[in-house]
Order: sequence, then structure tokens, then C-alpha cells
Amino acid sequence: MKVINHLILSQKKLKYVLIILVLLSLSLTISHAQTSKVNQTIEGTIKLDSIWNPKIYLSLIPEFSKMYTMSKSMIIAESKIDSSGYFKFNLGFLPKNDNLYRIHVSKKGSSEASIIIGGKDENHFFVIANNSSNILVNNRNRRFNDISVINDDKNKILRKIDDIVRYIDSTNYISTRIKSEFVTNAFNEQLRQIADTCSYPLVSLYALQKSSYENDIMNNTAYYQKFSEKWDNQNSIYFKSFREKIPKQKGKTSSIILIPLIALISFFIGLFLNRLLKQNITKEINPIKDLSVQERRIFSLLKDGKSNKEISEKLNIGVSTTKSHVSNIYSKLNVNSRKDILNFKEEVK
Amino acid sequence: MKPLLSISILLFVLFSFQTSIAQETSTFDLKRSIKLTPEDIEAQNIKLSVYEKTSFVGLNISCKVILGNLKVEIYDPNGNKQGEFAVESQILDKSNGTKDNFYEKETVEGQIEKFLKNPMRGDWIVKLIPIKTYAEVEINSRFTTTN
Repeated sequence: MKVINHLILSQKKLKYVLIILVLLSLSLTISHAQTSKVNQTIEGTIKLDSIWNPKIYLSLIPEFSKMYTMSKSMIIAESKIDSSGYFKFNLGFLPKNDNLYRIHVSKKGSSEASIIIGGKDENHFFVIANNSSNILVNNRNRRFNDISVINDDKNKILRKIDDIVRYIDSTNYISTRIKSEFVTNAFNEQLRQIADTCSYPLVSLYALQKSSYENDIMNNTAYYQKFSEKWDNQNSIYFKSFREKIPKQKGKTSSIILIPLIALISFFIGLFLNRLLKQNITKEINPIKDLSVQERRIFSLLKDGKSNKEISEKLNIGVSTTKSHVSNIYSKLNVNSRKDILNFKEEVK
Repeated sequence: MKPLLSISILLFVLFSFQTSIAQETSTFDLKRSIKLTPEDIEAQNIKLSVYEKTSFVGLNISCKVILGNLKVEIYDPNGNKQGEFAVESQILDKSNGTKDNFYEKETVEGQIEKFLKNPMRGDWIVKLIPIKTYAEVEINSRFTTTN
């Protein structure tokens, strides 16, 4: 009896353990889901000198021509940088499509809306993000322009592109003009290669933008036309303004002109076919129209029940001529006798 | 005795070489401050002449805008754009207050630095394109020439 009781008791215990386990796994799943939702952030730890304000700003760059434009209206989020250098932007409010953003800091005593381009005090870097991005950054030195991205492929490539551009700038500083021209050309070619092979559309366009493509369009038009064609499905402002700068391919009419043109041609062809069809139908419906003037007169007299002789007298023609006309009428109206003529319904339209 | 002589000669050559370099290089700084008001509607071109013997140019352009917009562009002597930035204030109407009020309301700042070794000879142009702006622009340039 004791053994049975013990068994029942342990079965009950097992039941409780199972319930607890199910509850635990449920709560773990929920907390994981919440964590993954919270992870839509740009965060990281950056080391900065004391000349900088402990605040960091995120600005939307609506098009590439605004990359170096600073306005307070562009700032969409800010975060404090704590004593360890940690900051975080939540990205849940961003659009679902990729956009270009600028992250910047400002010097103490300066406006929060300040941009410094070039030199050791450069105060910004760019990221590509959307509402599900999770970007982790840090910097090695106490400078803002050596930011590394740890976990996001798109932005890792973006940093690589920026590194190449920085290298071009430094070459311009230390080399002779001719050498720096060679180096610039070589690196611009490298940027074009990145643009060509990158699978992320906006990153790809960013690489082109940084290669100063506007100076190269006329020398390398086919390349840019091909690039534009490759990303034909991209309708963001970034791509639209890029396409506006690329000459259209010869023999390729713009779809803006082509579509209405095709519609117009189709309309006129339709109109023509419709008329042709109507004429045929009318002919089929009203074969009287096929009769000559004389035949119509004879047809009318036949309808009145006149004989060949009466018709020939009435129209002052020979009986044989009348017979010939009557025979033609039969064949044109597809009838066999005078009775058919009497029953023939005229549908004059 | 022999090593002492060698060292002395080496030191002499070294010092005389450094002195000769110091004598051949000269640097001068040029600072310009420009104030723009909403009445300045046309673009202004500031010319920076780079002569034959200029071996280095350092350029720092900074500006503060308290009203309207200002775009700064740098062109090399061939007319190619070598850098640009724009600063835009959200305050676009000057009828809302005095100049001092604007400072309190909003200031937007921009700065660009460029360093060029063996820069292209000719006239470099800094173009200021104002749109109804109260702005202060500082152009600091450093030219190093080698004789």
C-alpha cells in the first residue's frame, strides 16, 4: 500500500515538475522575443576626449547631396554618452526600408547642429539602417573617425568604403600630385568594384557616390547605365536622383514616353480594326449594299412580285438582261427563288 | 681620435642640412572673416592663389549660421569641386526678432579642413552661397613655400 501511495505521490510531483518546465520554457520564449525586439538599436562604446559634449545625435540624410548638410531639422534622435562611453539609439521608429543616417557629436560650447569635415576633429560617420537593424559600434582611439562596426554586414562594408576614401585623402596629403592622381584613380576603381559586387543596393550606391562618379560619367557611361539597370527595382530618392544624372541608353526610350506611346498606338489600331470589323458585319448583315443601282431597282420590283417581262418593260431593258440581273441578285443575296426574295428581310443600317 | 672626427663631421653635416632646410621653407597664414546678412543675395567667390613654389596648403573654413542657409564649396584651379558643406537654420524669417535673439534660438555650425601637399597651381576658389542668412565665416589658410 505504501509503495502504491509513494508511486501516486511521485506521479503528482512529476506532473508539477512538467508544468513548471512548460511555464519556464514559455517565459524564456517570451523574454527572448522581447529581447530580439529590443535589439533594434545602434549602440556601442566610444572613447572621446573631454572637448566633446557627452551627447550623440542621429540624423536622417534624405539624399546623397545632403550628406554634408547640417540642420537641426535633420536630427531625429539623440542619446547620452555615459561615463564608460556607452550610447544607444532605439531604431523601432525608423522606416522599414534602408536609409542613410549620420551619427555625430558636437564640441563643448558648440551648437548640437555642427558638422566638422576632415582633420582629426571630424565629428561624424554614416550608417545605413532600417527599423530592424542591430548595429554595434566602437572606436579604438580617442577619435570619432575610426569607428568600427562589429556585427552588421552592410555597415561593415560602409566602413570599408570610408576607410578607402580616408586613404585617398591621406594620399592627397602626403604624395605628389601625379602620384595622388594615380592612387585616386586606382581607389575609385576599387570603389566601383565594390559597387558592382555588393548585394546591398544602398551600400552599393554609397560606394559609387564616394568614388566621385559624377566626374566619371562621361568616360564610363556604359558602366553607370548597367548599374542603373541592375537596380531598376529600387525606387528610393537616393536611386532616383542617381538615375537623373545618368544619360539614357541609346535606342532605349524612357518608359515615361514609351508607355503612353504604346497606349496611343494600341488605341488607334483598335479603332481601325473596330471600323473594319463593323464594315464587314454591316456587309454581312445587309448584302443589299452589294447590289448595283440597277440590281436594286430590279430587287425592288421582284419584291413587288413583278415578272421578268414586267420588269424589262418597266425599266426599258431586254428580258435576257433582266434575267441576267435577277441571276446576279440571287447569287449576291444567296437566294434560290422569287419566294426567297419575297421573304428576304432588308436590314438597312 | 678618428671616431671623434667622424662624429664631428656627421654632426656638422646634419646641422648644416637642417639649417639649409629651415632657410628654404617659409610659411604664412592668411585669415579672413566674412559676415553675411540677408541683404547678401549673390554668391561670393574668395580667391586663394597658389603660386609655383607653394609646397603645402592647409585650409580651414568654419561658419556659424543663425538665420537662413549657407553653402560653402571649394574649387581647384581646374574648376573641379574639392569639398563642400552646407549649414541650414530652421529659422528662415528675420522678421521674428533681432540678430541677438537668433543666437539664442538656434545656431548651426559647419567646418571643413583640407590639407594639400604640392597643391595645383592657380586660383583656388572658396564659394559662399547664402540664402537669406546671418552668418559668420572664417577662412584660415596656411601656405608653405619652398625656395
